[in-house]
Amino acid sequence: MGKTVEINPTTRHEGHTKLVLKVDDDGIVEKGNYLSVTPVRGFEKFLVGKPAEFAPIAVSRFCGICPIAHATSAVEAIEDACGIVPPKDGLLLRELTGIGNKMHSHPLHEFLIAPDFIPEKDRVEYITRIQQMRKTGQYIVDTIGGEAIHAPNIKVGGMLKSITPSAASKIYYKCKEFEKLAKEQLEYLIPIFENRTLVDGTEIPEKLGYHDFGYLATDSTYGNRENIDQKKVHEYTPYDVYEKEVAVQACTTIPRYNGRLMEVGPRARFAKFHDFKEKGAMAIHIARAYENVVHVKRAMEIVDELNVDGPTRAKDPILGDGEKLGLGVHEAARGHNTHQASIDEKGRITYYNAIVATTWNIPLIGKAVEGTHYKFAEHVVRAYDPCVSCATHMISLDYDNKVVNEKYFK
Amino acid sequence: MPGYLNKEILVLGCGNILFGDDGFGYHIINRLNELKEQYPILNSEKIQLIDAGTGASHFILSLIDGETPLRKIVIADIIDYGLEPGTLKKLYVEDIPNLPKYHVDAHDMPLAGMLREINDDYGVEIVVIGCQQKRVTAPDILLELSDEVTNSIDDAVKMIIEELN
Repeated sequence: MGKTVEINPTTRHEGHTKLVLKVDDDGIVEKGNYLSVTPVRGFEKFLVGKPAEFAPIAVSRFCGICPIAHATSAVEAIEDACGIVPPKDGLLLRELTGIGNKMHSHPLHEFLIAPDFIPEKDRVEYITRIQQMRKTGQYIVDTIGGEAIHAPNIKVGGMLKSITPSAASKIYYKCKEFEKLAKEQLEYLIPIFENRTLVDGTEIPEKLGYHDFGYLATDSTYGNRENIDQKKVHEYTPYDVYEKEVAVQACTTIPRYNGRLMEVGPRARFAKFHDFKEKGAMAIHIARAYENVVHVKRAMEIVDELNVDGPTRAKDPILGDGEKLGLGVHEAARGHNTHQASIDEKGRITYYNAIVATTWNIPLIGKAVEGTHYKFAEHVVRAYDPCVSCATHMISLDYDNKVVNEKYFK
Repeated sequence: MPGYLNKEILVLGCGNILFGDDGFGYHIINRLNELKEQYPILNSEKIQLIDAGTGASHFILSLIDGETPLRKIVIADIIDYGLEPGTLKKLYVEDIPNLPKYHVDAHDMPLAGMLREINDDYGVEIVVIGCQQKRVTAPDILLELSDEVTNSIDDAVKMIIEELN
């Protein structure tokens, strides 16, 4: 017979979502749908007509978790549209700000999964380590970005200013500490994920979260628009993909690359750039734990490479032709984050679109819960660290420019 | 630790500029930055002004611990007490609702519980300068504050500066 199981809300991630699962008599998921139920917002529409410089300020407010990732994608898209090339030291500082954001975000996710995996006796030490790591990540964002949350130094053309030599050496010193903590964290977490055992002793099925979709990542730590063919990206509406009763509840588009669902995030980056072949939900946790070390190593490299006296911002005017579609890609904590913008001759935005990291992962998470018992589904969701508030964007046209049933948008 | 955790007083402007009166906190921080010449206290090394948006719990409050020299947090935010729009109200930690612990979502963690804990555990004084909202438009975008809330900004700024002295 089978039945439908709804897990609503799913917990300990960012934003409001639910799982709608068709399960068989043994509780095994036959069809999985993972849905954002955060209300739709219209950033892409209201940015049109605004000055280009407003975009990074506005998109930093997509949600309270990844302001740096969005500001970075926005300025990259506008620079591409306007043909502006930021100076090297500006880009290094910008990359370092983004890495600071990830050095805060990944440990935060490790905190969110603590009730699943970390025995009570280890928690204080585990969380203390996480808090120290988060402080360093935030120190970097605060120092280079100019403010802790909505970093005002991230500007179209580069960065507003450089840092002092003493700030650079403090960052380096703190990174050394972070590296030590990240390695401790890694050594602690890997056996837990490899053993596939929850804190209550439940064994996680070996193939939990396995899927055969692709991986999308353009850079190991920053983002590179040369590494993606954006023409192969198409956004579908929920009505193209889900059954109607499910589609009506979904608040995100479904992007595909070359017609295929793609995973983004730590494991996708590891698969692309570190020859990582592990599959399943536990492999995402493992890749994320390794990434803390990758991030901090790159942060130290950047500090070494940075000339604090070098120019940080291109002086070109922020003007476009109204036609060229600029592409900004950034590897956010949760994965490949794309913003696209066109800018007119007066410096105003004529088109804006954002396909944020979790938009890619949402349809894939639904598929990845299929084949195992539904009681494990939440662990698949959490492995992806979804940040749904940013992902809730919707278009009312499908890929053939057909208007989708409008009543669902009222 | 981040520079702002080494201060004695934090002024946090909370809320989202994209949702009408929810942008009150952002406008307060902007005004305080403009007034730095007029009020030298705002330049004090011991004070940090932060446009905290919707990330205060995430990026600031959850990082405070016994090592933090912080002794006071002043929060500018909208309130909804059914007062005349634009009415200002000063709230202390005992006025903050005692919400049950909330573990569902790291994104929507309410500030109230965290503020109480910071006060209880580390003795950090909490003052909220609340402004009665007229309209919060989420999920629709509105970049302007209502006239009533705009007209309260100067008085709210004075209340904050009093708290800093």
